[in-house]
Amino acid sequence: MVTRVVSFDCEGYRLYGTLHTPRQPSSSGSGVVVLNQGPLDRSGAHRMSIKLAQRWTASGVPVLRFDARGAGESEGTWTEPAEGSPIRLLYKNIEEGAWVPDTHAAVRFLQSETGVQRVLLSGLCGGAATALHAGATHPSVSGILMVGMPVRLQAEVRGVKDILDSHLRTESQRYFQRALSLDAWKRFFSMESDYRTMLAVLAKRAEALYRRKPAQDPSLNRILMTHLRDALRARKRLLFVYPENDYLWAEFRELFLPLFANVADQFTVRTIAQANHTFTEPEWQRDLYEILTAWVRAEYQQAGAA
Amino acid sequence: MFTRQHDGVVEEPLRLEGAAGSLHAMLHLPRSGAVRGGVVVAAPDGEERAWAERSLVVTARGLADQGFAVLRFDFGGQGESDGDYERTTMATRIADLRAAVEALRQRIGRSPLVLGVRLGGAVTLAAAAAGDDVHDVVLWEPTLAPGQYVHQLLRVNVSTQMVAHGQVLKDRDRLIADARGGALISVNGYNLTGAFIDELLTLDVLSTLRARTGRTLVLANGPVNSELAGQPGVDTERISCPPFWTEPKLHVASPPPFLTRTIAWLSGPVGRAA
Repeated sequence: MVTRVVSFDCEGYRLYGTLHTPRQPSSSGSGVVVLNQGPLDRSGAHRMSIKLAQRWTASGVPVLRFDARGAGESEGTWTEPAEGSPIRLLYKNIEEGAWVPDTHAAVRFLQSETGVQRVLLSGLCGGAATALHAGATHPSVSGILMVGMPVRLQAEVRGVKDILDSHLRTESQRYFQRALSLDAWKRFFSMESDYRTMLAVLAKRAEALYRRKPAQDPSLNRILMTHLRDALRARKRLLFVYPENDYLWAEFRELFLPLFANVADQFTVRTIAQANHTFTEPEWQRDLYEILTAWVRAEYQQAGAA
Repeated sequence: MFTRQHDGVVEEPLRLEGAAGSLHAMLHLPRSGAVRGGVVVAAPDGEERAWAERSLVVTARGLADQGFAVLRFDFGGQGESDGDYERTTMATRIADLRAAVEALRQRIGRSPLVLGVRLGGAVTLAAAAAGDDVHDVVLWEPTLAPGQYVHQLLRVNVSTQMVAHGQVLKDRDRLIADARGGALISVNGYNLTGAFIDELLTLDVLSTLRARTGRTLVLANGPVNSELAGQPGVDTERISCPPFWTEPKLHVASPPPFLTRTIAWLSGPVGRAA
């Protein structure tokens, strides 16, 4: 495997990346582009992106990891007040596709450097949203791997009122079980309890009993939904992977999946038990790498056969 | 949505030979070619490195805009450098930093200063004590009590146990014992070894700092350690600065507020000497 730092242009900004090329490329003519996990640099949380790239390149597949504008080592500064802005607004920009031009530039660069025709896009969290936005109708993108993708705009999820009913039910049950303890009553009468949250939880639970739920959660990322429909129409291969100990999984399962129930056979959903959002434990990482690598291999075997 | 900054800076990716493999580095130079001094950036460690990365990139560009040649690099097993995190130690970090200092010294023909951030600050002081290649240093929110730092890291592991299993299966003492027995302890996905934990637990950063002969600037968001105030050769200042080495609530695209004071200090006698 040969690994080298590369750079290419996106709308006049220089983007830096790392290109992994196999010594013996497979005959599939395919490659992978790995996207930033939100504002983190191209190595990813605890270097997950590097570890995945190494596995895929060992299978004969070239991989490009790169930093989009405003991230890692690349040029471009997010336009915002000098004192900064809430991180949720940055996430919103990413979740709505701010890095689509960067991703398309990366696809072009990977193709020009390695000669691959077909490209898979892979991303975790905000990177998954970017992958879907950028790949939905792109003619060279054959498949999209989305890990822990947020389906609601995080800037629109503000407090107890936006928490999923199922999650609230579980948490409030746990809370009121704890409330039976002597310590909890001591905290309550010594003014140490979080009364505001307790009241908000109770109000939300009471409201849930009487309120008619809207057909569609208003905080869902509508652009993302449109692009998923586009990707399905374009017959892209789609893989969603979620860590089960991640609130984003509950949102995907309860708010997003039901809207696509009639086409659920056209994409794959896999979960990893107990895992958290960034797969911090070795066994969760192992499961994630196995799922993604098997999927990438299957894609290229299919491409090679075609 | 994006703007252009630091057009007066040119950048060059480099590979350096580190203690346990090839290191990724980026050289930031003033486009004018006139270099007034050199700065090597010693980054924070593990998860803190990941969150600090962008702030240190814009810091390097800000320094290069002011005429400094800046070398940023990733320690072995971190970022874009080769190696596995669990195979690294304080000794490999010190060797990596000294390799970066030597690379920049050869490039610009004079000894650079080192800007050490968080644990990178502790590595910087240890490197300065180990040889005369690291002399004047700037420390941003340095980890002055590595023992406390270790316990904060282990607390992350304990919290993860609570979320995953609903209970604490191993407390911090048990985790340390397991690490000493050869187990790897995951902290946000970075695997701590017993050797690294013990190095940190026995590292006496304050004594190293007290014994220094080079000039030192310490900038901190909170109260600066009282033992440092008034020590000859050590300038300390408390400056309000968001903790850019942790997951932020606020996104700030500009360099940390520590940079302005750092440039002023580098523009004084220390910078001119370098």
